[in-house]
This record gives sequence, C-alpha cells and structure tokens, in this order.
Amino acid sequence: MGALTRSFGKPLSFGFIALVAIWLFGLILLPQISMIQRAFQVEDRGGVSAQLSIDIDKLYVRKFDIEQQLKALEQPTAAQPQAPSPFAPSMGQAPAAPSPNDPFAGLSAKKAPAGDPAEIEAKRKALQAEQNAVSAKIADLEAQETGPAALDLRYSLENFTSMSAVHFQIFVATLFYALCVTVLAFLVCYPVAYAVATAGAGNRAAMLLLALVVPYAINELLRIFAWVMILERQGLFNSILNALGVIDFSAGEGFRFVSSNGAVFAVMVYAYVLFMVFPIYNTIETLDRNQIEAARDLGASTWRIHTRIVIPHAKPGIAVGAIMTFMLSAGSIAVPEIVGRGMHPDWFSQVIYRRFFEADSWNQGAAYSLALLVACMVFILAVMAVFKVGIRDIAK
Amino acid sequence: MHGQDVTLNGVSMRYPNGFVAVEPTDLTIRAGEFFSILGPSGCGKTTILRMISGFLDPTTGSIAIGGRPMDGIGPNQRPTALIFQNLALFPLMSVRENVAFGLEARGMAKAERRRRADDLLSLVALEGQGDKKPGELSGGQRQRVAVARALAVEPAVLLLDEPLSALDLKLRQHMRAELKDIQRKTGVTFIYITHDQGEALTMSDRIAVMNRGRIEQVGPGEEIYNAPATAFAATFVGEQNRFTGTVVDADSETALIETPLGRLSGLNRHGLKQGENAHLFVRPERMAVALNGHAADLDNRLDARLERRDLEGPFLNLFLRAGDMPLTLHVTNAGDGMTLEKDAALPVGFRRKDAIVLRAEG
Repeated sequence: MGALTRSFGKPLSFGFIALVAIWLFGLILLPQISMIQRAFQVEDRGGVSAQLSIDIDKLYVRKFDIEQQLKALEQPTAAQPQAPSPFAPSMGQAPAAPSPNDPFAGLSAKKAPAGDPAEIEAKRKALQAEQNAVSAKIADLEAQETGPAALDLRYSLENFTSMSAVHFQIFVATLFYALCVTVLAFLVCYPVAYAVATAGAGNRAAMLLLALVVPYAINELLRIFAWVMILERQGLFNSILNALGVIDFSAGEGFRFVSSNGAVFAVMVYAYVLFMVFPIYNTIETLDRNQIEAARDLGASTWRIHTRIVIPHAKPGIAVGAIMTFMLSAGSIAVPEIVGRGMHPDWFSQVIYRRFFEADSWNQGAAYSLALLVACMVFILAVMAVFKVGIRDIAK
Repeated sequence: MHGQDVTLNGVSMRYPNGFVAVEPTDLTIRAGEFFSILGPSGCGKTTILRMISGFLDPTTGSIAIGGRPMDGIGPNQRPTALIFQNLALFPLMSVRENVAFGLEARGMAKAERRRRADDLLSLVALEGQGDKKPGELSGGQRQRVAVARALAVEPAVLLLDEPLSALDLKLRQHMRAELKDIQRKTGVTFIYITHDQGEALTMSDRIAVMNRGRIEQVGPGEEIYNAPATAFAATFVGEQNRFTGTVVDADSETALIETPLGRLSGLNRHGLKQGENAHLFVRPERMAVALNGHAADLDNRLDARLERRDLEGPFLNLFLRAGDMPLTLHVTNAGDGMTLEKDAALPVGFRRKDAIVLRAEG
C-alpha cells in the first residue's frame, strides 16, 4: 500500500484500489454469492402463491378494461374499438373473456351505449366505484404476494436432490465429453506447440504463432458456423467426397457429420486449441535444446525423448492447458447448441440454459451450474494430484 | 571401454547462408588419446565436434570412427558421447537417473542400470549422491555427473565442448587433472574443444590449432608452443614478441630478416626464401637482458628502453620499447636487484635458436 502510493501518488493509487475493489466485489464475489444463495433456495411456485399471481394478473386486465370503458363514455361519439389488453399475451387470455371464477364476472365489459346523459352518468359512477374496488383488491393481493407468508422461499438442498436421473446422466456424460475434448486437444496441440517452440529463433516461430492467432480474430460463433458449413450434409467435406466419387449426392448419399458428438468434439478442439497450445508452447520454449540433443546423443529414441525429457518439463503447461480446455468445454454452450442442433447427446450446459430460460427456474439452474463448477474443480484437483502437478508449478 | 580412432577425410561445413564454418579438413585422432582442438570462438571447432557427434552432416567429405564410416548414422547410433558446454543435465531426474539415462535408452533392466550408475558415480567420486537432483550439487560435482552420464553408454569417443568454461579458476584446474585421470583410467578417446590454451597444453596428448575454419597445426603441446607452424599458432598460444620484415638471407636452417630495428636472425623451419615478407617470433622468456656480461652468446641484440617493470615473485615482467616496437621480457628473479629507472637504456637480445621466422600471411 505504502509502496503503491510512493510509486503512483495518492489519487492514482486510490483509483487502482477502487477499481480492484469494484472488480473483486461487483464482478466476482457478489454474482457468485447471489448464485450460490439461489442454488440453495427453493422457490415454491405452485399452490397459493401461483393462484395469487394469476388473480392479480386478472385484476389488472379488468382494471384496464374499465379504464377503456370510462374513456369511451367521455367521448360518446368516438366509439373506438377496444384496444387489446397489454396483459393478454402473458396470461394467454382474451381481455374481455373472464374465466368462470373471476370474482367480478357480473360486471364484465359491455359496449357503452350512447344514451341519455343521466344514464351515462350513472354508468360512469358505477364504473368508477368498481375501478376503486379493483385497485384496492390489487393492492391487497400484491401485499399478500410480496409478504413473507405467500411466497414459499426456503433454504434447502432440494434443487440438487431433485435433479432427475436423465439430468444426472447428462451431467456425468458431460464431464466425460469434456475429458475427451481435453485429451483430443492435447494430442493435436502438443505436436504443434513442440514444432513452434523448436522452430528456431526469429521469424519462423513468429509466423507460426501468427498463423495460430489470426483465426481467433474472428468471432467464435462465426468460427463454429464455418465448421457447420464444412461438416454439413451438403457441405464442403461431403462435396469433396462427392467430387472424388466416394459418395453420390444425386443418389441422396452423404455423411451426416454434424449433429454428432464427434462433430461437437472436433469443433470444440478447434475452438479451444489456443488455450492448449500457448501454455505448452511457453513451457517447451524454456526447455534447454541441449537437453534434447543430450538425450538423443545418449541413444534415446524420439518417443523416449518426449516421454522422459520434453513432457516432464512441459507438465505445468500441459496442466494449465488441460484445465482451461476442460473448464471451457465442460461449460461450452455455443458449440453443442449450434453443431449439435439437439440431435446429439445433450451437454449439461444446455440443460442449465433450459433451466434458466425455458423452465424459468433460476434456482435450479443456479444449483446445476454450481454442481458443474464443483465437479470440475474436484476433477481438476484429482487430475493434478494424479499427475503430481502442484499449484506452484502452474503459477510458474 | 576402448577408445577408437576418428578420421576426418576432406570434411567441410558450409551453412545454407553461404558461411563456411569448416574448410575441407583431413584429421586423424588416434585411439585412446586426449586430443584438443584449440581456437578462438567462431573458428569452427564446435562445428567439427557436432559433425563427429552426428548432429551436423558435413557438406563434403566423410567421417569414420574406428574405421567405420559414419555417413547417415544419427547421433543416437554413434559410438560417441557428447558433454555440452552447459552440461545439459536433466534437472527433473535424480543424479542416478541422469547417469543411467543412456542405459535406460538401451533397454537395460532397472537393477542392472542402477548398479552400473552407482559404479560410475564412484568412478567420478560421487558415491552416495545418486538420489540428489543435479540442482543440489556444486558446479564441479555437476561436471562429474555429466562425465559419468556420458561414460555410462561406454562410448569409444568422448566429445567435450568447453565443459570447464563455467567453473571458477581453482575448480577448473582441479577438474583438468581429474578429466585427464578419468581419460587414463578408461582409455576412451577424448576430443576436447577449448579456447583456453592452458587447458589444451596441460591435458592434451596432441593439440590442433584452428583458425577461421582451418586447422593450422597439429602436434603435441610442446611442439605447438616451441615450434609453431604459422603466425596465428605462434601468437594464439602463449605470448610472443613479433618483429616484421623481409627475408634478406636464408638457408635451410636459419633466416635473416631486415626489420626497422636492424637485421635479426632466427630458425627457418618452413623454408622461407629471400625476398619474402616474414615475422620473427621470440617468446618473452627466451629473451635476455644483455648486461653484466650475460650477453656473450646472444646472436641478436636490440637497444631498448624500460617502460614498466612488474614483479611477479619468481620472475619479473619487463615492458620495454625498442624504437616504436613494444617488447615484453620475462626474466627470472635472481635476487640481484635489477633496480632500473623508467626510461633507462637497456640492451636486450636473444639467441638465434630461440627465435622462429614464419611467413607473413596475406
């Protein structure tokens, strides 16, 4: 702190600390805490509270209806067609068609007849009285709804324990898929990283790295769609096979590469290749080339040089790359969604998405994502223990 | 273990960018000898070493080890072992695993290679250090691990690329003796690359002096020092006083050259003819002060002035100037109190048989 003020002066140091604090609390701690809290909270949305919200919605519809009628009475000549209620879509009900258990069914809307002023006045009075009654009722019901009694919100593990068997299978399968992607990515990236790291000084390594980075200037979704075009039934890959005469489009032949887990794996490996290549490249680059030559000079085969010298040296980099690839692929939603199109085994990230935005159950969605996070962490720690990589090695 | 001879037949190395690292070279290194290649950095000595070890393929010519041509044989198949300048020990393996690595690569059983590694560690006086990591050892100990690791594969030829250059002076002198000792015990051919003439002279059976991709002289240390074949060999090994001039008279034994300081004579080992440009070299310790009747047998005499006088203890370094030529003399400290003032006139001289006349290059 003192060192910071000395180097940057008071205002700048204060700025730094404020920004770090905002980042730490606002962007990391608070969202996480709120999600964790949600995960352990059960919101019972059946029964009383559900009925309450339906009733409130209906009352709002009625209130809108009355307001329209009042407007019509004030301008008797301009008999406008009734505007559709803004609440209608959310409730799926026509505004003027009350349900049988509507407590105000008897006062439902009629076209305001143009008649003598006394009659109109009486009608207006009646409508105003009803409007007041409806407003009071809404206020009353809303008080109940937000009050502690009505909303059944309690802490419990139910969000986790209520995970269905199907969801649990997807959960386990996703961890396995992510592992497959990680292993595939390693098999692809290790030779690349080794080649770049040992390409020698100067331009060649720089060019290779540039070639690796340039595709990443393109949006991830576009890169995924590019793969869809390659793997599509009438896509690039099948077109080449068609041109070579391996398959015949006109006979309706063609491999369905997309919508399979293989395609999802391939695209994911491509999507996360850099996260694997760079850490491995960085560690291999620090390896003294003489060690490779010494091993060769002592009679070691290429395989032995890699298993005994290069890979042990690159282990921290491999660990970092594997962790990043594993976490990213376990949590990836764009790739399975776009490439898989629902015709491949689901990934757990898709289930979580549906919990949040289709089942409209944020609490269970939060619980599912927390479960995935914890499982990934446990998995990573286990792998690190098995491969004897410490946190300190990774920090290097 | 048995050393084998190494033959270079017209070997040269030209890099793709056109740089010629090694000119066509013929060289025979005898089985079981301690052979040094001595030269300044960039002279191509490491390139020769890498060609013998198989990491580089010669542009022309061929290399044979023990009479067997090595063309197309990779470094892992050659009967050589290389000790790198930075040693290149494997930092993640224990000392024992390092030493046993070559045996592991040859598929030797674990117990057997452990036993062999421990034998080698005791050969280099590192008993009981097998479980440490190389990083836990001192510089000299790491050096010995590198030697043991290279010897483990029972090479016929051990190639050493300035392995002592990272050590401090004391340790370096100690390791010289140890390397020589190991070489004698094992009988392996050692090819030692160095730019340090002291190392080359003390350890080697024979030395090759190399300059600009060319081997200028091959011979035992004494021959290199006492009878250099070229002006470069004369100046690179040890100190020299050099006089430049033209040969005015020459026969098969001696040559007389005309220099700005007068006519000087020396041995003519390389058959210089009258009229050639030449250098005459005399070692500082072969020159004498021509005072008090010491001058009787000096064939060449010069008038010089004393510029500086450093006492080294057993001997004195005298820095003189004859005309505009700087001269250096090492004279034994005889205790007769050679107390001379600066700028004192001092006649010096040397015998004909202590000087050598060599052809001036280019």
